[in-house]
Order: sequence, then C-alpha cells, then structure tokens
Amino acid sequence: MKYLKKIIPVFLTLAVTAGMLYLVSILTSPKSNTQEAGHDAWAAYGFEAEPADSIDVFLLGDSESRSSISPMELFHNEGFTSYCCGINLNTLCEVSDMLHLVLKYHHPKLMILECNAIFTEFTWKDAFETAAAHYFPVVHWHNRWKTLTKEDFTSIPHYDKVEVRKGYYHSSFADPAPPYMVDRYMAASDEREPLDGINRWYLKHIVSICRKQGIEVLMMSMPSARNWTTLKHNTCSDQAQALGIPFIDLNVMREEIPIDWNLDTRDRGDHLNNDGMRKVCSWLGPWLKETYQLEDHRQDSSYDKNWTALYDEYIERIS
Amino acid sequence: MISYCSIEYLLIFLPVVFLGYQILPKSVRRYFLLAASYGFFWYLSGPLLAWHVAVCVCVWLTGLRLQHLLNERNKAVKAAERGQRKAIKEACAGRMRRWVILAGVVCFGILLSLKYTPFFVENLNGLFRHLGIHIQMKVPSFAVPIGISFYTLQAMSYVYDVQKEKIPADGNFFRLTMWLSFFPLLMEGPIARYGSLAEKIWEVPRIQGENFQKGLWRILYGVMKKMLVADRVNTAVELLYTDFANYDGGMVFLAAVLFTLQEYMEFSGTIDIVIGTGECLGFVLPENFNQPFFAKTISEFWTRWHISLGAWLRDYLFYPLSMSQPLKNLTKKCRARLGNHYGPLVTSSVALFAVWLFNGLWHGAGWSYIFFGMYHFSLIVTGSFLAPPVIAFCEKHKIDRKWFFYRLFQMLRTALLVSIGEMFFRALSLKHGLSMFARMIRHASLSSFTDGTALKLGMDLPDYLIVAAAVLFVFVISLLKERGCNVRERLYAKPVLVRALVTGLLVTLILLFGAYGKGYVPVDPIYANF
Amino acid sequence: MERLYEILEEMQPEYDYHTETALIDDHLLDSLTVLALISELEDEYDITIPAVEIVPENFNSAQAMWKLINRLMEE
Repeated sequence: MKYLKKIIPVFLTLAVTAGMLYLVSILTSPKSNTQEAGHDAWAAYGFEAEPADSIDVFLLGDSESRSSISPMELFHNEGFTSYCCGINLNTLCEVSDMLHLVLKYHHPKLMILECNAIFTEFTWKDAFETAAAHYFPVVHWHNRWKTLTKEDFTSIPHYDKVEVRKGYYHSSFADPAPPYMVDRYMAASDEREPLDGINRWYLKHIVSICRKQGIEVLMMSMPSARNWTTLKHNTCSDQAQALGIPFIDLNVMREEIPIDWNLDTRDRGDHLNNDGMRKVCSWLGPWLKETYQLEDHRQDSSYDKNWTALYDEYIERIS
Repeated sequence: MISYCSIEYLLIFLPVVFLGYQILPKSVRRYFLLAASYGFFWYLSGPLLAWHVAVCVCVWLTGLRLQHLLNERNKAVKAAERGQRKAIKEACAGRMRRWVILAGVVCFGILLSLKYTPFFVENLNGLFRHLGIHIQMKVPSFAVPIGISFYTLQAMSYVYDVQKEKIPADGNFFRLTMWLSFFPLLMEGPIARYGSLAEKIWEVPRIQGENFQKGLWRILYGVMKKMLVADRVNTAVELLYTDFANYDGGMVFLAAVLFTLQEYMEFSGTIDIVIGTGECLGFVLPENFNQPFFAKTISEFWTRWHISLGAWLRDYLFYPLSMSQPLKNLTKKCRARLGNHYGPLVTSSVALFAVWLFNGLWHGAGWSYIFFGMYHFSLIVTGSFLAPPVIAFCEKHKIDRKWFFYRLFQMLRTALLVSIGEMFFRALSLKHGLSMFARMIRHASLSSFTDGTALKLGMDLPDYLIVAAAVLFVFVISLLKERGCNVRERLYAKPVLVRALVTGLLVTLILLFGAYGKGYVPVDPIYANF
Repeated sequence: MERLYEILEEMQPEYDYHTETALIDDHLLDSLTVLALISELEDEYDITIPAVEIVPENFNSAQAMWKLINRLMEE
C-alpha cells in the first residue's frame, strides 16, 4: 500500500505528460501531406495516401535518391510500382524512422537503400531526437506553433493527398558539372571512406528489420559527380558483403548508364535532372523487374486511379 | 559546449545518478556520488581533473595543519598564566597565517597561471612594444579545468574558515573532496560554503517524494527559462554584438537589453537546474538569485544577483580588508572629520575598489571585465556618495521614498545601468564595448523598431511575443516570491492530479515553445567559462 | 546596554533597537553603518572586533551585539 502510494504519482505524472504531448503533437503536425499545410517533406510522405500494400519497391535515402529515379517512369515502362522516400540530407536514423513508417502502410518486395545517405554524419543526440519525434511529433513540428491555422485546431492529420510524382524531384534544367569535378570523379583508389560506428549500427538495424519482414534489401548508389567517390564505393562494397546483401554502384556502370555531366545534371554534378533520371530508369527498370520478379500491374484496374490515370499529369508536371 | 540543460545531463546522467543513489546502500552511496561527480568532471575536462585533485589535497593538508596548530594552542593557553595567553595566541596566529598564505599561493597560483598567463603576457608584450623594447614573448594558451574559478574560491573559503575557527578542519579527504567537486555545483556555482553543505552531502539521505517533486519542478522551470528565452534570443544577440556597426542606437540598446535578459535567464535558469538537482537528492544548495531586477540600487542589485559570489567577496575580501588595522585607523580619522556616512565611505571605497577589481578579473582575463568591475565600483560609490543629498532632496520636496512610482523609477534606473554594464561585459572587447556605447548615444534612434530591422535579426514577431510571454511568466513567479509566496509549496499541497498536470504543462511548454532542433544554436553556458 | 542603544540611535535614529531582530537580514543597516558602528564600539568598549565576527547573527539585534561585546571584553 505504501509502495503503491509512491508509485501512483509517478505514473500519473508520466501519463498526464504523455497525454499533453500527444495533444500538442496532433495540434502542431501538418494536417495534410502538402506544402500548403506546412509539411516540410510532403512529397516523401505521399505513400501514406496510396492503397495499403500497393507499392512493390521503396527507395530510401537522401536527395540523390529522389532525383535519380522516378516511380511513374518505371511504372509506365515496366509496370511495377515504387515510391521515393528520399529527403534532403537525411541521415540513417531518419531513414530508419522512415522505414518504420513505410512498414505501417505497405509491405514491399524490395527496399532500395541509397548509399550516399549512409555516410551523412549524425550523433546519438540526433538519433534520440528522431526517436522522440517518432512518438511525439511535436518534437519535430514544434516550430509550427508560429503558423497554426484554424484547420490545425479543428482537424487531425490526414495524409491522403496522392502524389503525382511519387516522391520524384524533377528538373528539366541542365547546369554542367565543372571539368575538374568530372576529371576527379571516380578516380581509382584502394582507400575507404570512414564510416562512424553509429552509422554502421543503423545500417545493420535497417537491414535486419527488412530481413525480419521478408523484404529484400539492395544497396545502390546514385550517379553524382559531386558526392560519390571510389572511397565510398569501397566502403559500401565492404559493408554489403559483410551484411550479405547486393550492392550496385550506378556510378561505375558508364556503359549501361551513360551520364553526360554536361547535360544530365541540374546543379553542377550534384543531382541528376530529368534526362539523367531517364537514363537511370531505362536500365534500372528492366533489371529490377527481372532480378526481383516484380509483377506488372498495368493491366490491373485497381492501379488505374493512382498510377495509369495520372501519367499524363505527371508528364505535364515534370516538363 | 555541454550544459546542465542538455539531453546528456537531464535525460542520461541525472536518471542514472538518481537511480544508483536510491538503490545503493548508504555506505556505498556517498562514494557513488563522489564517483559520479568525478566522472562528470572527467567528461568535461579529462585529465585536467588532476588540477582539481591537487587543490583538494592542498586544502585538506592545510586544514589538518591548521587544526593541529589550533589544538596545540588551546592546550598551551589552558596551561598558561592569564597574562601569557595573548602572546601564545598571537604566535599561533602568525604560524597559521603562513600556512594559509602557502595554500593561497598554491590554489590561486594554479588559477592565475592557467587562466591569466596569456592575458598577462599579451599586455606585457604590448607594454614592451609601446616602450620600444624589442622583447616579444610567445602567448601561451592553457586548457582550463571546468569551474576552476568556482572551486578555487570554495577551497580558499574552507582554509580561511578553519583558520578563523568557524569550522573544524575535515580529516576525511573524501568528504572534503565531495563538497569541492559536487557535480551540480561544478560548472556555474553557486559558490557553496563548507559549513553549510559538506556534512549534509556526506550524509547522503534517501530521496524523498516531496523533495523530488519540488526539485523536478525547479529543474523544469530552469530549463524553460533557458530554452524559451536564452536560446531563442541567441541568434539576435550574436548578430547584434558582432555587427553592431551596421545598426543604429536603438538596436544597440536592444542588444544590451536582450543580452541582459539572456544572461539572467541562462544563469538563473542553470542555477534553478542546479538547485533543483540538489533538492531532488535532498540537499539545500545556496540560492544565487533573489529577484535581482527588483533591486532599487546597484549595491542592492549585487545582494540579489550572483549572491554567492557577492557573499564570498564580502566575507573574504571586503570585511577582512576594511577591518584591517590600517583601514580601521582610517575609518576612525575620517569619521571624526566627515561623520558616520562619509567617513566609512572613504574606507569602504578602498576595500570596494579591491573587491571590484577582483570581481572583474574573476569573470575573465580581459580589460572589458576589469572595466565591468570598475563600472560597478563607480556606480556603487557614487550611489553612496549621493544618498544623503538625495534623501534630503526628497524630504524637502515631500517625495515619499516608499511611494510606488518612486520605487519603480529606482528599479528601472537600476535595470538600465545594469544593462549598460552587461553590454560592456558581453562585447567582444573593451574597444567594441566603448564603440557600442558611443553608437548607442550618437546614433540614438527608434526608427529601426518600426522599419522592420528588429524583425531581421533572426527573430520574427512570434519569437518576440513568446519571449515576452515567458518573461511575463517569470516576472509573475518572481513577484509572488518577492511577496513571500512560495509557489512550489502551494502547488505541492494540491491533489496529485493537479501536480501531475503542472509537471506535464511545464514539459509541454518547453517542448512546444523551446528554441531547439534544426536552425537553433543553444547559447553556451555563459558562466561556465569563468 | 543603555549606552549601546544610545550609540545605535546616534548612528541610525529610524529604528526601534529594542524590538528589531533582523537589522542585517532586512538590510536596515548598510555596510557603511556597520563600519561606523564597529569603529564606535571598538572605541567605546576598548575591544577589537575581528572581521570573522561580522556575521548577521552578531549584528541582527542590539541583544546580539551586546553579547558579542561582552564576549570580546572577556578575552
């Protein structure tokens, strides 16, 4: 009884605090996955609006991933569905958080882990904040108290806006990479890019979660003259081998994917533009479909609404 | 830099310490607490911990030596004739003084050489250049252990108190060390006295529910002050103090006010976390703030702001100096000529000069800190000098000095003078400080408050509003405290659900309105560098 | 004792020294008054008041001061 008297206030305090944080989390979270609603990565979260279990392939990573692959392009040509969840400067802890969210709505066959994000440095404190924001989104959205609208007080978050580009970040603009960058790009080396312990831990964690769910994992690096190096290639190759998963580096496949760094990049060799993306997809699409035995949904009428019917609009948006 | 207001301290270190403290048996508990303190020190300063241990050993041995001398003296006094007693006492006092000086040389020697050598060498080089002597020394730079200025003062207060028989020397090295390294006190004080604390920490009482709840509230209140105000104004303060030349006088004034606010919220917020930590464990740590902005004069301000430093300077510098024989004689002479107010004023000015020079230098090795000390010295002496005529003036013109508006005027005037002092304190150098002051006067203008400049400092309107709301909240709490109402006491008397709601509300306010996450740089603990 | 009250009243006539018990704690006597007072007491009673004795407990009331004076006179 005495023990109970001590423990009740503790639990009551924790419960009340959690309840209040939950309420302000609902209040501050954007009410829709759109820019107008105040979402900072609305495109990446569009998969929540897709019918449950309707996506075959997910792409996790940073901005390299969402600039190199367009799910709509892949669907139109090969018939399987995919989604880009890349967010600018995403770190592995955020990627892992995204993975948990994805698995809440979908059970894909393949998870592509874009490799540049593996190297982005972060601390255990960032990981802690990401974890806290997972349970109490107010930790992430707290600055939205400045811009709250009437809707924020009267409705709850509802991410039902179907994204036409499925997370792809388009650009029809070409800004050539400087010659010195192209010269130095993928210069031969035996050295390895260092990888922090916490990054390694998260990499393992992500792979093991997918394994448990029976989802295949593929490590893939996207073409980037600015960000990708042979050192990173070597490290990724080691890691993939140790984890027992395949790794393909699109940067070394110059015959299959002949990126022209004068024409195919939108920002001086950092990210690809539409032309670069098309080169990637025209090789990657058939390869993925064959390697992972992905189903062709183009004749399936249940995919009409969110995919087939949106293709024209997609073409219009990206050009 | 790590602070008490960090995930590491609040969510990892503290829970581990609380848990270990509670479950371990009493005999182990105190060593656990000591290990936690040294672990904390090591985490912040690494091997520099050796300097701290050196100081602990030094004052421990000195204390024992002094106690030995005192015991011998007492025996001798008992045995001696009445007439000889005075001589024995004086002989002993002389011997003790030598040991105290030795300890002072060691403790302050470490502090001075680690912290002040670069400043000293720089100025010596400057002097040589000025005199045309071609000697230039390399300016050394030393890593300084965390909180050295705080624990050195604590260590010396112990030696002095033993010498003056206020406390017996502590034979237990670990008890003494625990008090000199107690982790909440390490970074920003308060400067605690041995007599009021060491024994209590060593008793390591079990954590009590009531203490824990109240301590937790105090911690959350401190975190709130820091994250809602100090961190939110940080961008603006940084910008204004670096680029003040691009702004008009109004903005420079804003810089002075914002920094004063930031410093108060940061320092007193940290002290809230410190005292709250102590309270959770069941220790009463000394208060460091007593609603400073309700002070009516500068000298009153210093009895309400950084109280533990002011008290240290009063007890170990001001009174020993002004009660020394030469100054006592001076008091006597001046009193005969100038009366009971202006007579002692002469003496106390001499002592105060030393106090404020020490105070300025204690804050840091730099001319701006010395200037800061002299600024307050002049204000206090001027204040005392003007006090009688002001009283006479008020009486002549029938102004009631207890009238609300008169007191309000005094408080605002004091706050203004303090803010200007803090501007010199924060400025990147004395030169910067002086040009900021000149700019404030010469380019006095309010236009930048209306033309949108104030909103381009990294703070938008909602930022200003939330800062204002938080300041108002702190003001109300302070006002209640000033009126003698203990808010936490009252809240604790409420039903358990209300108490839970209060805790929840504080956490929610911090996480909702705190300035943290991407785009925010929290302010470094301002006093931890001293 | 009566002489002590006289001295105190000379210094600061505003307060009733028979009843006040927090002269220092309530900031009724400032440090200048304390210095003047000590100087006066030393002369009057032919004692030496050391700096360590200047603590609130010794100066908060006339009673406390009287105790201090007597203690120092005995030494």
